[in-house]
Amino acid sequence: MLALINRILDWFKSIFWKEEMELTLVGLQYSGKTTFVNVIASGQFAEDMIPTVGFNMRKITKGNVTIKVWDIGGQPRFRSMWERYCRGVNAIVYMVDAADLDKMEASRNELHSLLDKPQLAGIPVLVLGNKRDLPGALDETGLIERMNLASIQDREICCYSISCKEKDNIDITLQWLIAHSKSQSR
Amino acid sequence: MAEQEAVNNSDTETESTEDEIEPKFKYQRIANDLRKVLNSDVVTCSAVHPKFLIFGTFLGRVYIFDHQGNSVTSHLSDGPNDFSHTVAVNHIDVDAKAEYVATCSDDGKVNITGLFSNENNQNLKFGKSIKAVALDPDPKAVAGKRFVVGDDKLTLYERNFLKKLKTTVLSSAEGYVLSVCWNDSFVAWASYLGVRVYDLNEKCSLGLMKWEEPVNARLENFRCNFRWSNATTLLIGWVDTIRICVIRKRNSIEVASRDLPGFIVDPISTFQTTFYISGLAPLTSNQLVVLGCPKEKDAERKSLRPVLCVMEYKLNSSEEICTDSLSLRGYQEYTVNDYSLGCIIEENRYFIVAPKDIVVASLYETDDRVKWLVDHRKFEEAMEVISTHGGSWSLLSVAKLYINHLLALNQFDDAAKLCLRVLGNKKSLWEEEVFKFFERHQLRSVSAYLPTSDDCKLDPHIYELVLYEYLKHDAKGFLNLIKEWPSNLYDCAAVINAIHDNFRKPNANELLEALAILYLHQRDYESALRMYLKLQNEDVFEMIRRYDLYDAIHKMIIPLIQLNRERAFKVLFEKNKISPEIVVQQLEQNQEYLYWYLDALDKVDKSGKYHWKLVNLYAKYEPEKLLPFLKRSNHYPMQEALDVCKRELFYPEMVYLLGQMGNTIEALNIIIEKIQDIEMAIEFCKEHNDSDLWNILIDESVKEPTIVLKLLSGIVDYVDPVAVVEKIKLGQNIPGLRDAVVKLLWDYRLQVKIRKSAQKMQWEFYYERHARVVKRQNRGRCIPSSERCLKCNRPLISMNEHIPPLNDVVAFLCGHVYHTNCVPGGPDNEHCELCNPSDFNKEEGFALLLE
Repeated sequence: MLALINRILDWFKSIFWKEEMELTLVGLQYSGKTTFVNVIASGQFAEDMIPTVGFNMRKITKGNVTIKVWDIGGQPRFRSMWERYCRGVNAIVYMVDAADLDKMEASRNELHSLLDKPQLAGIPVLVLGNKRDLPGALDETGLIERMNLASIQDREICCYSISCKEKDNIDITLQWLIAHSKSQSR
Repeated sequence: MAEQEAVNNSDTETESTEDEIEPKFKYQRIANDLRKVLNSDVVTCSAVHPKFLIFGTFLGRVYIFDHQGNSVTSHLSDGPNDFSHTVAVNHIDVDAKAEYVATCSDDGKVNITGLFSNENNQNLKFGKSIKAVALDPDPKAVAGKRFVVGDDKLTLYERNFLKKLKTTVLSSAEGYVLSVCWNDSFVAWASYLGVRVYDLNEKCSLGLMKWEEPVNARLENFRCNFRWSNATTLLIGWVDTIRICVIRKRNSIEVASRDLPGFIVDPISTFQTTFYISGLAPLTSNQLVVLGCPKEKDAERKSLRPVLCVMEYKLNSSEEICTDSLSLRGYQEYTVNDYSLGCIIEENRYFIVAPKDIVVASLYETDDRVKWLVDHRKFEEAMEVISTHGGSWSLLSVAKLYINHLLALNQFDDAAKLCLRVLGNKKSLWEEEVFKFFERHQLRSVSAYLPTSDDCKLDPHIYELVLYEYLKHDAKGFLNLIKEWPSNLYDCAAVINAIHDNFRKPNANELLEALAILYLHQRDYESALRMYLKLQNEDVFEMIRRYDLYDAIHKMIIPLIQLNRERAFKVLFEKNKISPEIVVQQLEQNQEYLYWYLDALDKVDKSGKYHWKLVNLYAKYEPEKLLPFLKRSNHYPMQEALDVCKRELFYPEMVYLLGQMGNTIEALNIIIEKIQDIEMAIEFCKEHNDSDLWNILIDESVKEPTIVLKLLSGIVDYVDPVAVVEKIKLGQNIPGLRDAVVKLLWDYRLQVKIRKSAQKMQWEFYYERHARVVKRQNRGRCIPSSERCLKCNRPLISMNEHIPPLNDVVAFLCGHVYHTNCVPGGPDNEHCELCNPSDFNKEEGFALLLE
């Protein structure tokens, strides 16, 4: 009986406040995309993730916002499909391994070539520098500089330094995402 | 990665033929994980979405892949067992938000599975095989809330908020539902009778569209293929007939009056295909992509390759634009229902789904077309495609390939023209391409097209290379280039040196002319002139004029005259350019030229400075002009001229000169003795009209009887012929004398007559005049009262009574009037004082006399 009442309440809530958003999560392999999804979905951090093949589909509900996430594999062979998954979403989240300075340039090139695609014009981008808990990880300023984010002028772009492991700055990331849900961004 | 295996059969078979048709599609086989699935299972149906592909298999599994064929884990495959099928999956549908997938199977189950959550999954069991299921395509609807299932009736399922399903039977009793396609509020579905469209809003069918039963087969044995190409256009491909229907709103009056549905299904085009249809999709507004299976079988009764065909349709007719035969894996074993066509309309991406093979056909994009054209050496078309459609190929890169191709074919001229067309004013590009010509020693082909303007000047070395090649192989072309190209393109000195190094006799003319031009460019006018003279080229005159080289030609006057006298003189006579002194001095060594020069000079320069020289030269070169010249000119010393004439025995000239000098007698003697022309002598005598001359002439006539006659007839007006006649000796026989004398006498008579007539006329004139004078003098004359005496200046006639008239009045014939008293002697005076004052003055101071 209690379950029924809850369900009715949920239903009411969903009628009046429910908001939806769709976002695509891309970035080089081993930057922590799937981990990030797990963290924001369930708060669980797992050290040993298997690399994503193709993509993962997840739906996360935060408050009255439902976030549909396309978590795309980061290995080179999947990168040609990034554009396909980024089309028409409310936001693109670009994950960077802030501690892996060697891959920073490749990451920057992939981001810029992705954002050059005319189909993706105007879609807001959130660049997340993951693994800030590791020594030598770049902070926001370092990321902005190394990723040459200042040159992206045609869209809203934001950069946070986070740690999925320590759950650092996950809350502000979620706030940003929720702020870009359908009803708020349109 | 996709396997690069030839899918398009026509491509491999006709590779060699020249006029191959440009392909419409490129094909890519999907491999990766999908390949593994296909190895053990068979695809029976599919659903394609811009983000993923879903395949149902014969074994009842449902797989989801990305567009590269990588398997994606999802609730579809790893969900609870209840949600999978046990036998062949018949149909798959995905909702607009890509959240739910509906599958149906021969096992009698219909599953609605959430991709992101299992929350609203449905699992329906029917007792019979289900062929068709469709999810609500409305993107605004709650996902997975409504769907349509077709078994022996068409049923709409709606989930209410308590997650209970409400069913509505849309249609029944028309046999098995073969396929369903839902768009907006319209559900299209097919049964063995034909196709119906159901309007969910009005809850009614828009009518049955009957389908023709195929020969020797049953309609329900063919899958009916639907595709909504837009909100209101339904494409139906079934058996071998394609029908395009548009859902239109019916006329509102009609709806109200006859109780008809609000919409009508209007078939705008129906046409047959040569093959059985496995699937269809829109390409453009009037073109379709159709996947088909040939009706024919091969010799072993096996199937032929399926075809992908682009068809253009009009009203009830169609045309196959292009047809590709596809070598799909295992095609011999499969028939029309085994294949299906998936489509992402907005991307023009078509999925050819075969049981053991999935191939993506995508439109040949601009870049693909260009690549194909380039590969097939159709560079012109490739360039055209680039210029109209753009793309990532640059026009220049294709053009460069084209140039290389033409060069390889030895079509150098075409290659050069192409350079001109595409390279524009880009210096570095030109230099790069020109080098290719240089390597093949074909700079000559490109020379005409090289940019020479100031805004695109290549490196001077390039022009020099071109010139050098011409110099080696084509002297004429070399010369033309030298003439054509601005001199600032190359280093003149270098080219001059090259000419000297490569001077060859047979081409001497061209090379000399080229040298001349080059010297001109270098402002070495003398060298240039020398070259022209060597060449005997008459352009030299033009050159002298153009570059004002008058000062440079002083030493070349003779060669110039040799070249062309007329034009040379024209140059020499240019006003104030070259003084005659210089010319004369130069020409002293060649008297003939000097003569020509002075002769010509005489016509323009009247100063006569060189007339003396000219007399000599005339005497030497053209004696007949001497006499007129002597007569014309005043600027030569007569005595010397006479000496010249004497030396040369120019008698007429001597006669003239002697005549001018007054030595008429000697002149006459020359005429008589040397020239022996009596008429001339007579003329001479007439000219000078001197009796001495006549006498000489008459004396001469005595010696020569024939002269007498001429004298007699010629001298009448000058000398008395009697003198001549007297000289005739008695007995002398002069032939024709009688006639001459008769003529003479006639002349005389004529003269006398003329004189008499003249006298008569004179007299008549005199008399007439005289009569007129007398007549006038006889006329009366009025003396007006106002007239005054010319002497005393008082009125001649007074009207005033108090002033008595002074006197009578005297009027002279000349018209002057005086008072009688004022005239001495009164009326007896013989003269008018005014006309003849001398007589008057003697009597001065006479008083006024009163009458």
